[in-house]
Amino acid sequence: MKLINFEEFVETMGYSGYDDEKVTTEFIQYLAKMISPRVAIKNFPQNVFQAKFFLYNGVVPSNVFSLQCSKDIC
Amino acid sequence: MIDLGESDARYVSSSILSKMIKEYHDKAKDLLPFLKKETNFQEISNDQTIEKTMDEVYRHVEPIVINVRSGDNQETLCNSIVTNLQEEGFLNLDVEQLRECEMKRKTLIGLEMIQHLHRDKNIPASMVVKMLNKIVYNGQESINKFILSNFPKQIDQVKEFELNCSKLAAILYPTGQGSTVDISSRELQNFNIESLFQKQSRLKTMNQWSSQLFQEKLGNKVEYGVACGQPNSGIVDLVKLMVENQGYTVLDMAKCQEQLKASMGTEEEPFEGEVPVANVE
Repeated sequence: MKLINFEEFVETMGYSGYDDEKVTTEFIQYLAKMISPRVAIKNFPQNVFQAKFFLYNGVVPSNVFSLQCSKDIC
Repeated sequence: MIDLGESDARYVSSSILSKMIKEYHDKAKDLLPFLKKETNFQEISNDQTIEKTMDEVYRHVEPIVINVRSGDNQETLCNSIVTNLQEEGFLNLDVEQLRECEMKRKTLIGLEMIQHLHRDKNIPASMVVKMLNKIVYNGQESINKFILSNFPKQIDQVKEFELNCSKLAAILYPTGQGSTVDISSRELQNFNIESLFQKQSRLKTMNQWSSQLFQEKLGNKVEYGVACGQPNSGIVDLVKLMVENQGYTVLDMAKCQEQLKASMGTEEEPFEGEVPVANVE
């Protein structure tokens, strides 16, 4: 399984400061070129726009995990 | 909790961390309900050991891989289990056949295997696992249940498979009527796969095929709970919390009765009698 950290992707590709549409489009294109059958994406989507754009123009992920911790921690 | 010192590259000061948490909560307010509605969303509690958290994640992600052993001369039952599992959607992976196919087709792995055999060496488990990896993680979500045949045969192979491919959900061991694993003819000093899986409660004996029994052996039992108490004692709230937090499904007898009443009568002549308990059940 290949792990992609969205925040690292934005930083290394120089998309910091770009709007959600541009960044998500680039991210979808980046994922489309990948051959690995299993990809884990970290820190994505960060807001509803990115989520909607990704689902409608990219792919519906097999699973979405949200890790919950008690309020004492965060 | 990970304790990071100020010298660590990942250290974030508490004020910045508070800002990040606030930002997350602000965005999550809309984002999480949207993801819950549109995707296969899973909330995983992190207030437990990392092993338990990972087990929970694996349950959703990992394919189900089962190894059926031939057992104590129970070839017929073994074949019957494999056939029935195939009918339940499991794909039988006969490793010996797959190996032959790879070598015949001269794929990259097949060529590596041929080279090993030419050097008079056995094909290492790592190579078999590499081959299985491509099949088990084929990218098709519907194909995620597998039976492993003729592999693993040794504990080292189990370790290699579980480290680099997937966890074996269980070993099915066909037995006679007694449901016992006969080890009388084996060397007791040898710690074999059966012993290892028995120790980890993953060796499941079966003296006949039954789909329900198989599901129970995999731990897919339906858990029932009864919520009862005096009126206004908070049953509804308790049940609501159990549905929201624990994923329970509610079976409300009163609601079932109402639905049945509606179906038994018509708009002009609604059903007014008592609905028979047998019908509700």
